[in-house]
Amino acid sequence: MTSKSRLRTTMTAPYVVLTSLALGLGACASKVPAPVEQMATSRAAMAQAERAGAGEFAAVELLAAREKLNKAELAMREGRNAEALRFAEQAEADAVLAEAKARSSQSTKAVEDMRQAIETLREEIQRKSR
Amino acid sequence: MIIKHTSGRNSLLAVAMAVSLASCASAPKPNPQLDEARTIYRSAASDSQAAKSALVELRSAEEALQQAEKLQAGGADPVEVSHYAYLTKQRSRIAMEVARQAAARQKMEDAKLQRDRILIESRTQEAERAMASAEERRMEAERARQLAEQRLGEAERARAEAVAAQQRATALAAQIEDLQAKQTERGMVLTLGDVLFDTGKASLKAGAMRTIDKLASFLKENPGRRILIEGHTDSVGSEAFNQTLSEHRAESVRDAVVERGVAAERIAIEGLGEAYPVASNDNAPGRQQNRRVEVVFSDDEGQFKQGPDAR
Repeated sequence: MTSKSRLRTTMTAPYVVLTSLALGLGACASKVPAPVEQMATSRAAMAQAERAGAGEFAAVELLAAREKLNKAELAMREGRNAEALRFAEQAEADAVLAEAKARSSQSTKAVEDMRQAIETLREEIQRKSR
Repeated sequence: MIIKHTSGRNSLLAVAMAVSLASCASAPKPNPQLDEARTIYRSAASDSQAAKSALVELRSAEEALQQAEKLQAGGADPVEVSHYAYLTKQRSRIAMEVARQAAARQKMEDAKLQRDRILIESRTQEAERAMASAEERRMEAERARQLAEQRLGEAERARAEAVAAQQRATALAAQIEDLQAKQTERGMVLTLGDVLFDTGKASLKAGAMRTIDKLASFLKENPGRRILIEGHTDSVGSEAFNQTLSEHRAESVRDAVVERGVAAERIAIEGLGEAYPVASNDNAPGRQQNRRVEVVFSDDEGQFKQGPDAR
């Protein structure tokens, strides 16, 4: 996040007032540029999560990411850039989590399958050696 | 945020001041989302697997948490604090998922090793079983070969025995032929004629000895056989005399055979007098035929076709 507010208490009173006003406007009005780059990053993260199978293994996280991306787009269209940036950043985090969850779930499932296969193999060998 | 236009410079300044203070310098109030973010981050950071395999993700969560803390301490907009708190939570979760995946990968490696070990073990066992089974088949073949050999040997022995039996039968036939014995319904019977005895006496003439020799040697060569020696007379003279004579003649033959080394137990004798003529007693040739000694032979097992007392 880029917007930063600092009060400098060492300043004399009139400057304090003016500076405060300037900073206040800076923080609250839309001086934040449209988060075009972050939107692209978030969309890429979404696509990667989908490719990793998040639709099956992390549906909740993927849905949250998609909703936040939509909200970010809407906010950006309406000029609420700071809000758009926040939604876009959260969408990226949700998408990356969805991807990580999909991958770990698949790995866990693969381990289970392998153990099952080993068990079957064991039984087969036992049967053969009888 | 809306700034109202008011007349008067002081009023404007006051409003601006108030707005600034309200937005940026309000006293920090507790933020529950930040509390939650701290908890989740701590939990992820204390996970040993995450510390090993999700360092980048943990670092990124930590940065978001530091940002959230700084904003909170600076009394920033709660929306901003919550935003960084949210990023902290999600990045902590990402770190944990990455750790989970790394753990699963490790387990997969272990499982593959285990599977390979089992497969190798199984193949080894299979090979051992195959070898054992081959050995068993080899031994079975060997047993079959030995059995066949044994059968062959038995057949050979049986054949040899048959040949020997045949030879014995042939030899016996020759001996019987030599003895001039006859096959009768009582078995083999040798008749010693009257001419071999002194007239009216039991003693054997010298000419009888050739026949006695043959009889003795036959008995020696066929140790299973026994003989029954029967004395017979014609009807001339008293019955008592004839009875005694027939007995004595049978004894004479027995003694001569025993003298030539045949065990006496193998020989039975019987005087039958004039009771069993083989021809008419009305003429001289008939009577001569009736004066005789008959030797009845048992079979190889010492059995007579009819007992010695069958008559």
